[in-house]
Amino acid sequence: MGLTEWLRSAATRRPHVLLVPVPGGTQVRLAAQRLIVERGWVEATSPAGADVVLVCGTPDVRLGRAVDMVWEQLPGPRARISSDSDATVADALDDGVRQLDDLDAQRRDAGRRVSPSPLADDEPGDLPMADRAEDRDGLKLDQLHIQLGPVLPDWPAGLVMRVALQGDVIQHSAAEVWGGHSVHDPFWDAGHLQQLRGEPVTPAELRRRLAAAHLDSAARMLALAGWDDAATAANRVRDLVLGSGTTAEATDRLTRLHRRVRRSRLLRWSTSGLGVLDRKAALARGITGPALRAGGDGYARLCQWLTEAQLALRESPVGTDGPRGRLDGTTPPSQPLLDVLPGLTTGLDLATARLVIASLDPDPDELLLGAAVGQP
Amino acid sequence: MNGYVGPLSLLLTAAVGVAVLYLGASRLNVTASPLRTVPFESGGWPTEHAVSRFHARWYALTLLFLAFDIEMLFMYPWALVVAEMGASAVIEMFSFLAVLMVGVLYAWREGALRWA
Repeated sequence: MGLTEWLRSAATRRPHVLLVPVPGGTQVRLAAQRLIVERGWVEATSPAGADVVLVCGTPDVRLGRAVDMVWEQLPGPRARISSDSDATVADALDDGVRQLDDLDAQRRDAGRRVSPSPLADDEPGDLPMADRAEDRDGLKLDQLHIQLGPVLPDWPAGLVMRVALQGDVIQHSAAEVWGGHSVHDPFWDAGHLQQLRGEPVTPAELRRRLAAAHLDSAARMLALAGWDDAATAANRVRDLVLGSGTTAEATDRLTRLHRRVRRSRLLRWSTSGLGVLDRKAALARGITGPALRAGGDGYARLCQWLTEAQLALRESPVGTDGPRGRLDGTTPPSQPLLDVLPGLTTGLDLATARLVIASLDPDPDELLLGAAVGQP
Repeated sequence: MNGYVGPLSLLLTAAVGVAVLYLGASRLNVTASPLRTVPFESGGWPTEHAVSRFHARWYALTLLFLAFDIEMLFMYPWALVVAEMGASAVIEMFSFLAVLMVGVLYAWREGALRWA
């Protein structure tokens, strides 16, 4: 039918891609985001709005099951692609378009899909009702147990937070990391780890990767704060810094971005006072790096990232610290960041908690792949 | 009978139109039954029903209702005479409302209107 052809060509011109970042697949995720922007495609924010699922890396069993679940929630026509190295992302995206174009396969897939059946519970076929627990006024309110899980936009790859919600206020939470497989060093810390081990690394490379790491974290937090424009700008500077762009152009764009972010009153009003971790408290929890130096709330940490990215690009001497903190201890610098999350998010509503998590931004790569030279 | 020809023919047209729509939809459908899925929970399976109870916050609601009900009480006779009394009556009533609004603003800033 001519109508189907026309619809298909219109739809596959701009597919919506749901990225599933996996620990160990940071490079793949960065390449995917860059290619999606280059091709003019859209990054989906939920399975319902996605056409393609792109798994960036090699997930383990638990993460694989989460991906399968998300795959089941994608409305047809849909495509599932995965890539475990940044060189194969472009081919994977083309394969995704090919899958979407294959109308017969999509019709067969649609005819074959079954509604997912619940796991064997004590109430098969039904979800139990929420149980009640005390709330802030001493009354008893329903409590829902939600998983802020591995597949979420602007979320650290592989981080899973199980929260107990009353209304939208978190009563208690627990954080863990679901893994992936990779043989490389964590991407953001690779240069610093090599330097600590005594291997030769160019300082320019170290500085660029440090700046890009801070920009990546800042872009996620800006997107969560609602400022998509600034988040896109930060991502673009990050791609420039990681790619072959000149330092002058990247510095110029970064200066402008930093000025814009600093001048925004709305951003300051909406992110100040969130997740306050002053210097004493941060030192006591063993936090190092920008979270310690910022010594304050989420807004201070965001500004610290942008400042340190600017300093890194400006040829100032770079220490041995990675983007999240010291790498020469016995625990990865993201571990204290992860440990402080449950305490900081208790009593906050979901949106605020997500902002706090984004302002600390622990790196699950470090936690799973080991980012401490002192580790055995 | 001729009084009913119009409505009956309209009913028939509507029934035929709806039947055509249903048949057309069933021809265009890929499968007979629609696909059901659970709500998106970042790749996890939901643990409970999302239909959960929440508190109506009776105390806060009651006080707010009382304050504004009494205010309405004052406005009923005022509304009858304001046309004759002119601008001064309007200004007096609005300053009374402003005083009430200050109270509401205070309660809002103190967090009394937080629901959960």
